[in-house]
Amino acid sequence: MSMGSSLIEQAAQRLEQLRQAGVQLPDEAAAPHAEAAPREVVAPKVVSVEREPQFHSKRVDLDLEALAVQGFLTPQAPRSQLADQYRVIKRPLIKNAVGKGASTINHANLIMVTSALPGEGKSFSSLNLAMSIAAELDHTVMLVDADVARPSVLRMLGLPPGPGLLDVLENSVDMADVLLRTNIDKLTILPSGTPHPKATELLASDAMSNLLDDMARRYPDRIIIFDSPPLLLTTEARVLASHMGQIVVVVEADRTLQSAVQQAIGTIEHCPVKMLLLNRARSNAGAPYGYGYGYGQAHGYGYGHEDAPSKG
Amino acid sequence: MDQLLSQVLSMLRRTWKYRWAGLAAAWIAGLVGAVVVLAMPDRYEASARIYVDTQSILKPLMSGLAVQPNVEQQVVMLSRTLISRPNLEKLVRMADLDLKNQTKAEQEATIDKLQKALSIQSTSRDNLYTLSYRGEDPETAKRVVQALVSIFVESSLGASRKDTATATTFINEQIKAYEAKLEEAEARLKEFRLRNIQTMAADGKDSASRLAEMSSQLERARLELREAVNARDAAKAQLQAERTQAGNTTTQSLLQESSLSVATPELDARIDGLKRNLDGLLQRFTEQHPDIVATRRLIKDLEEQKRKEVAELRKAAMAAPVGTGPNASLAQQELARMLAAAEVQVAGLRARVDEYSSRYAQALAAVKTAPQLEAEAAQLNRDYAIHKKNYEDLVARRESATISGELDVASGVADFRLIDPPRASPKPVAPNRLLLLAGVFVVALGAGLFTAFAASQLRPVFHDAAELRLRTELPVLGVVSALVADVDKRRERLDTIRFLAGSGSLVGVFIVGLAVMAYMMSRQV
Repeated sequence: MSMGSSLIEQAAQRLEQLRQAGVQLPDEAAAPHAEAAPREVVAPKVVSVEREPQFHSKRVDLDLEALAVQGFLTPQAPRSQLADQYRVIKRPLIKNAVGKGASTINHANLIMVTSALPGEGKSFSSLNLAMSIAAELDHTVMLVDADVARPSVLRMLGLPPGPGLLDVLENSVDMADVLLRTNIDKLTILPSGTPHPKATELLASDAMSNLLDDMARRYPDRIIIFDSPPLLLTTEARVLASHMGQIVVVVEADRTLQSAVQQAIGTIEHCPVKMLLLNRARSNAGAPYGYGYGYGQAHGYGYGHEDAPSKG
Repeated sequence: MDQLLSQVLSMLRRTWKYRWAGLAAAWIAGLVGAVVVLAMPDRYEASARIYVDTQSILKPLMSGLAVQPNVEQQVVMLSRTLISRPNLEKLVRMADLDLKNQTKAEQEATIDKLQKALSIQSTSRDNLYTLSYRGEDPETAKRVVQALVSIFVESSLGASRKDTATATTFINEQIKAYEAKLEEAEARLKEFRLRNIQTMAADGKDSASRLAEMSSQLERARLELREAVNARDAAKAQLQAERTQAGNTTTQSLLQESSLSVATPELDARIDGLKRNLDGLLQRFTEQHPDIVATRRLIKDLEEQKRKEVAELRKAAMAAPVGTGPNASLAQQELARMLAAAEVQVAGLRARVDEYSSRYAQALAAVKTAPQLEAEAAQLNRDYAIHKKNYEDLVARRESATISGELDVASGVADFRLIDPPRASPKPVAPNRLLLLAGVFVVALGAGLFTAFAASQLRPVFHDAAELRLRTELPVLGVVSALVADVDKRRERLDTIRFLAGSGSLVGVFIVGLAVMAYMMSRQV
């Protein structure tokens, strides 16, 4: 009961915050789309214009089998428990991103994946989420490695380090030059970039916020996932969070202390849309009628389990 | 029920996270407990059965007037009386328990330990008790009990004599006090009697009854007076009647006037005397002698006087119808006599009535002040009676105390007797190691569980989405299962196996220990 009232309260709060912070009313949803086109022509000073990606961006090939073995979702993989779990997870995110959620959200297509403490599975979750959303028909995904202190996306994908976000923020390169297109159709990757001593400060700078703003408005059907630093270790995550539309806090089951999670959520109090994701849960830790139903070891809807990673 | 079950399961799961800590705690607790149990020194018990005359031992405490306490209280009081500090000190010296004590504090500690280890329990029979002592080895225990028994026997002889002496002294004092009181009461009574002697009638009647008596006497006297008066009146009436009858006949007897003898004896005597003188004189002198003439003249005068008197008397006699002469009728005389007697009686009775009236008035006046005096007298009497009774009681009691005291002394150790001599059991009587070891086992398990549980509660984590939702009040997008590689699974299985082995070995060690203990204990029998 308390949960229900808190949800309603949260919705009301969000409404208030949005009204105070400059709301985008539903009837204005069409406006950014119209704005996007002239924007390209105007070419603002700070952020480099992103030209048509297929002409300038690099293309990388991801070893999908290797990824699958490691436990990541891949588009060709058969249905597995993991895939279904992410399907469930991504649905509200996508709904919010297109504005069909409970209320209109500013920068709704910017999704930040963070956690209270390091090692909870942010990168894993953000990559899988990106993969899952990439399978969507109506959306494209950009995965941004914003964990500049310990960038892990390129490592996970088995790609060599290269320029990325930090270089864009330093104004040395264009975003189009560092964006990576992959063999997965709808997925693009923006790596973390060359390690910089002031990486965290760059993240908190105005340049970053302008970049974010631009990224959000350019393609409304593009969902951008940010793999962020942990909330409790740095303050940049909080600053980042204030620009984000939706925030997903990853919590590792049976390891992260409740107090840490509470504290982390406290740091992003001001953000309207916060959601949680329980990672590395043991069986039956989900909803009581969890994903085990129908996806049992041998029975079920005939889902093969020989090449899917075994369940925990 | 569903929720309860899920809560319990989640608690168990949380506890499982800290299983190793729990196992460690269980092992430590088990080892420590086992060491303690094994290291506990054996206790051997020696006991003796004694007969204690409880009433005589406890008499100084209860002074014979209190309500008899129940048996348990008696036993407690008995044990406190017998196992008193002086007795214990004597015991320590006698049984050589203080060989190792150097300081006073150690001595005190020994005595305290002794006090705790000694006990007196009542058996089902009255006045029979079991004296027992738990010591570290059978010999010492037996020595202690023996020493204690001998202390009791020695002291009981002295104690009874002392008891009699104190009792006698006490009673003597009481008797003296009462004697004094008695004398005082007697003195007061005597004084009172002296003061109010007239109110103390010899016959012991109080004033009210005396008053009643006096009034009855008065009534009787009055009654008699009335009777006497009536009798006199009656007699008078009768005499009057007789007189009138006699008076009716006197008019006929005027002629008899002369015959009425009127007696003038005096004159006759003088006349006779003179006549005789005359005769004498005539013999000597003649008629012309002056003496003779004088005498003749005198005789003539006297005869003249006599004639006058007689006439007067006759007249008087005729006027009054009283028969004064010998010619009065006999009846009249009789009645006159009766009347006189009646008059006399009346006078006498009147005097008596007066006397009684005055006495009654006096008594009535006195009766008003009498009750107070009587009350005082009664009280004094009563005081005196009570004191006398108490005094007699005390004297009797003293006599009986003396007699019983002598009897006690004569009979010797009637207070205390040894029935069964001290025996020490060759097997230790405590601690029950088997039981204690089992207890330690249970405690160890409990400690392990508790530690794990406490640890899980101290630093809680999230286990499922419901809990996450509950605590953070934020929507949970979903749950991602852990991807457990085979390697990890194997590792986990190994871990579980190791844990089970650990706990199993703990259980096994305990069971083996218990079995060995039981075997050893059964072998000792």
